[in-house]
Amino acid sequence: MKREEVVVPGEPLCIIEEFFPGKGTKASNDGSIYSIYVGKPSFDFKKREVLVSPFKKVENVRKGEHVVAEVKDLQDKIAVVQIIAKPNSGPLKYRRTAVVVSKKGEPLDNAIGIGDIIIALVSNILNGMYTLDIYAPSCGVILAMCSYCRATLLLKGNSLVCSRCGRKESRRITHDYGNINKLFQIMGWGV
Amino acid sequence: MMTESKEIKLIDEEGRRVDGRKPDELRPIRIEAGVLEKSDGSAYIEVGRTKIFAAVFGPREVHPKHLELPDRAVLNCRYHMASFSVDERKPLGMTRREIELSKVLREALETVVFLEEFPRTMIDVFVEVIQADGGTRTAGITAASLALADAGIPMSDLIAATAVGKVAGTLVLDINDIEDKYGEADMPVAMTPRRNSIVLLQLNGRMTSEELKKALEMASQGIKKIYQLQIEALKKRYSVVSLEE
Repeated sequence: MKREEVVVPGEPLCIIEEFFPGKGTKASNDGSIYSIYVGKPSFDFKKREVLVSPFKKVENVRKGEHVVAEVKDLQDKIAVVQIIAKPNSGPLKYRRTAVVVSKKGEPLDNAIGIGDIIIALVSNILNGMYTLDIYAPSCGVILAMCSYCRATLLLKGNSLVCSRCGRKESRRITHDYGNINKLFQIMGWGV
Repeated sequence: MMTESKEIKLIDEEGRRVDGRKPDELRPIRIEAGVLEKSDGSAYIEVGRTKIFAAVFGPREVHPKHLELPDRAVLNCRYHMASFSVDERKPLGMTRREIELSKVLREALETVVFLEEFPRTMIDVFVEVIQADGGTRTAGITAASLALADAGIPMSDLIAATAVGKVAGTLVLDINDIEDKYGEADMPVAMTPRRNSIVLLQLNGRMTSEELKKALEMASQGIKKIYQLQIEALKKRYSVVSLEE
C-alpha cells in the first residue's frame, strides 16, 4: 500500500535550476517552484518540467471544444447565446454567455433563430469572451423553434416546417437535427 | 469596563487565562476541508467554541454585468453571522460590522488568489459563523482560504490567521470573546505562512512598539501551527491510498 503524494498551494516542489515550472506551478522570486493547486505533483525528467495536476478542476470551456448553446438574442451579423453543456461532459454548472458571428456576407437569421439549441465550436476566447462558430463541420442547429408560435420545427425533406402553424423556416442544421435522444445524451440526461 | 475587567480576572496568579490557557497557547482547533457537497469548495473550522463554515462557488458569470472586470475575476466575499451565533438574537440582515468584515476578508484573500486566470467572472466566498466566541474574522479567513484551495482555485499560498490581545497588561494569543470584550487591545493578524507576508493587520486598542513586535512574533508562531492543521486537513481530504505494484 502506498499513499499518493499531495501538495497544497504554496508548497515548494523544487528549485528553478532543477526543473522548469509547468502547468499548476509557478516560480517565486527566490528561485523555488511552488504548487498553485491542491494536487498531485509529477516530474517530467525528459522535458525537465514539474507539473501539478489538481484534484478538483475548475469548470472551463476551452478553444477548439464543441459546446451546446441556446440562442438568446439575434441580430443581422451577431447572435448572443448561452453555453449550457459540453458534449462529452454534460451540462455546465455555470452557464456562459458567448457570441456567434455570421459568415461574411451571410445574414445570421437564415442560420439560427431565437430559442434554438445549437452545437458550435469555440473558435476564440479573449479575456473571458467566447466566440462560437456554427459553420464548422458537425456544427449547427440541433433543435429549432418556430419564430412565430415557438413550436418545434420538424424536418420534412430539405425544409423545416412548424409542427403547429405550418410555417417554413430555414436554418443551418446539423446532420443530427431533431434527434432528441442525441441531445439528451449530450446533456447527460439519459433516455 | 475597567471595573468589570477587575471582577472577571482575566489572568490568574499562575499566569493562566480565563479558560485555563497559557498566554501563548491557542484554543483547540479542528479544521476540515470539503464538508459541503453542493459547493465547489468548502471548509469547516472550530476554534474553541467558535464554529464557522466557508463555501466557495465559481468562477461563474458576473451578475449584474457591470460589475465584471475585463482582466480578472471579481472576488465576492460575504461574512455573515447566523442569528443564533451570539447570546442575543442577531437580526437577519447584514450589519455594518459584517459588511466591513466582508471587505476585510476579500482584501486579504485577493492577495493570494490568481484572479487574472478567470477574467470576466466572479468567485463567491461565503463565510457563515455558526457560533461566535471571539476570533471569528481570523477563523473565517483561515476557513475561506482552505475552501478556495478545495475548490481548485489557483492560489500562491494558503492564509492562516489568529489574533493577539492584551489582557491585564499581558499579551495573549488567540483571544476569546471575554478577553476581547474586557481586554485592553485586540490585534487580528493574517499571514501567508510560506512567504511570511502579512495580508491582514488590524489593531483595536493600544500597544507599545515593543508589545507590537512581540505580538507579531506570537501571532506568527500561532499561525504556523494553524497552517500545519490546514495542510493536514487538505491532505486528509485528498490523499488516496493506492496499491503499490
